[in-house]
Amino acid sequence: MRAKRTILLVTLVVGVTLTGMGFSPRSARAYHTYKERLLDTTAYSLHRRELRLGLMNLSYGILDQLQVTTYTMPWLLGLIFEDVAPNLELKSTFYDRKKLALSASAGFLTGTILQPDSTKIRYFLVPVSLASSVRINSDFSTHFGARYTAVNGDAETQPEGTAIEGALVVDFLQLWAMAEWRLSRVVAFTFTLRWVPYVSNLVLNATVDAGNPTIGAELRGDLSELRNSFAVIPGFVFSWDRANIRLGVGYSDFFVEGFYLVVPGDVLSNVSIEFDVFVRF
Amino acid sequence: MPPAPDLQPVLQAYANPTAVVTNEIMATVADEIATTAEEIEDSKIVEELLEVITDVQQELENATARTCQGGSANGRTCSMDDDCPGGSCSGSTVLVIGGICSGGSNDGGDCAADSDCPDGTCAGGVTLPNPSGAFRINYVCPGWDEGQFEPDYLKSCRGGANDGSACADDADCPEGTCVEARPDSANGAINLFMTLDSAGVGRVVWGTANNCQYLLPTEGDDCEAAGCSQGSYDGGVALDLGPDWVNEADFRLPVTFVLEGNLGLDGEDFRINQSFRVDVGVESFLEILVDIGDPALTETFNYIFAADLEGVRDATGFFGCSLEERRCFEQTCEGGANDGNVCTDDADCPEGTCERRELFSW
Repeated sequence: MRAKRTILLVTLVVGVTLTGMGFSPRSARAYHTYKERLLDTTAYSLHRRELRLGLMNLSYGILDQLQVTTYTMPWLLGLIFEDVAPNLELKSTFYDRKKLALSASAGFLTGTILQPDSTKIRYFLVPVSLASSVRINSDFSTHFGARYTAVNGDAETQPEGTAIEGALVVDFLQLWAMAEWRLSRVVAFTFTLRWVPYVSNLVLNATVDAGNPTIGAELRGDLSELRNSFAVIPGFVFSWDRANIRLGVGYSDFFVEGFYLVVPGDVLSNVSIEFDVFVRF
Repeated sequence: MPPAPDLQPVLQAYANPTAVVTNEIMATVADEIATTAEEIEDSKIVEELLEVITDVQQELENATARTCQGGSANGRTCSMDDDCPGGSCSGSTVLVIGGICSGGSNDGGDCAADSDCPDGTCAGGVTLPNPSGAFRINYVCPGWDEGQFEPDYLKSCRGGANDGSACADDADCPEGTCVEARPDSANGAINLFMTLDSAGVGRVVWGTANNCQYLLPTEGDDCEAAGCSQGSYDGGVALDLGPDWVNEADFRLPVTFVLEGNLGLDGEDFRINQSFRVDVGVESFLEILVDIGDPALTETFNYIFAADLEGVRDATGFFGCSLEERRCFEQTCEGGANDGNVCTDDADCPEGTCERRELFSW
């Protein structure tokens, strides 16, 4: 049943993407143009009634300066683990004049991790971002941004055996910079640098009831190993008549899109990837 | 969380006694020392408190692991090098709260690393790297019910066909679980605070005992042979576990207590406001801090009880005493290799004898 649902979701996302490739109107072609800008890691957002359907996220322009996005991976993984992870992000390009664009965005991601012993750990992430984009000339742009993510979670008590109740909190800040060089109207070269200058301690307040005694814990975990996590990712964004592909392979830590988290590089052999296939119309 | 008491002045007083003990001083404090020592020994409050602390410490040890450094399991929790193919189990310390074995022979059991789960994996829970912070411990005292020494005391089925029935293990509870209930809260409780840092459990443990009731078997491990005494303690508790406290299996170091409250034994209360030291690795060792100064801790000496030793350690050094004989003395070797040295018995004086010379009496 779970496999069927997973296949269904993948089929849906791919299907919608391909459908979009086939039926996008001529007026919304996806070539790199003055109007059509990269959306990820930039201050730009979709215009009113524009739609972007991709493997990694789905976005819609509510107004000219406001887009709403949901990331597909949390939904997909949530479905695999039998509990969907709703997420939404609003992004507003509140200033876009001449060569400068500024944006602010905020969102949420929530879900539940089911433990092997049926204990449920709920999590709630609130990312808030600011970004700026500077068009140096028609071929070259730079983009800078900062995202502060607050994570908190709680676990519910388990009625038998060791019962655990508690809440945890951790915050972190990510900065990024991206250079974009349009080599042609189809190909843009990107060079992205991501860096985590600040990670708070993981703060845990919990009660562990393993019988007698009961232990209440007010603990801090030192996440300083994640501080100064970074990734250097050269990549390309291909923008054809209808289809768009974003592909980057870089070095060091892996910044998980949609989950707002960082996976230490040594877990994935220091390979950091950025990938998406999408259409805009 | 209330702040930890500052026990440094007390520890300093043990390390550097300032009083010079005379017969007048001993005449004043000897009876009080004898009574206090007897009450501490008889009440077994030391054992009661240390048992709670070592239980918690054991839980913490079970939940503590390290992380693999290098190799294919780099970053994963481990408890031995074998858990880290191509690497070593030498990374940072992690505390795994709520880790559960998935699969294998310990399926569903608590774990901190995969090695705790033979043929399975340790999953879930919250992992805290380099943990620090504090614990609140709430221990409900066993009370005065003599049935507490039965192996299945307070066990009953939760859920299933035999819900609520007494049980010995899960086999007695079809479709349910055999769980041990907490004792009645009317038995009183011990509430302690402990800290945790990179070096492990902090050396100061503090809190209160709220009319904690417990049984003291007169003989053996239960009340069947010769009955039990009813013990209790109500008051404040502060302990210093020493700089090198290791764990339950390594009780070699002195543990310093400060108690302020009422010790009860078979209905009689004894008011205690006293610091004392025990060394669980040394049988019957008890060291009482005698404070004769005003203000407190300005003039102190230590009175020591041990299996083969009793005496005073004051500003001049150690000398023997007997509260029973009401006199203090010094023992030195006469003749042999250690001639003139302080001794406790002839074994300390090769080719000589350990002779006693009275210093004073009262």
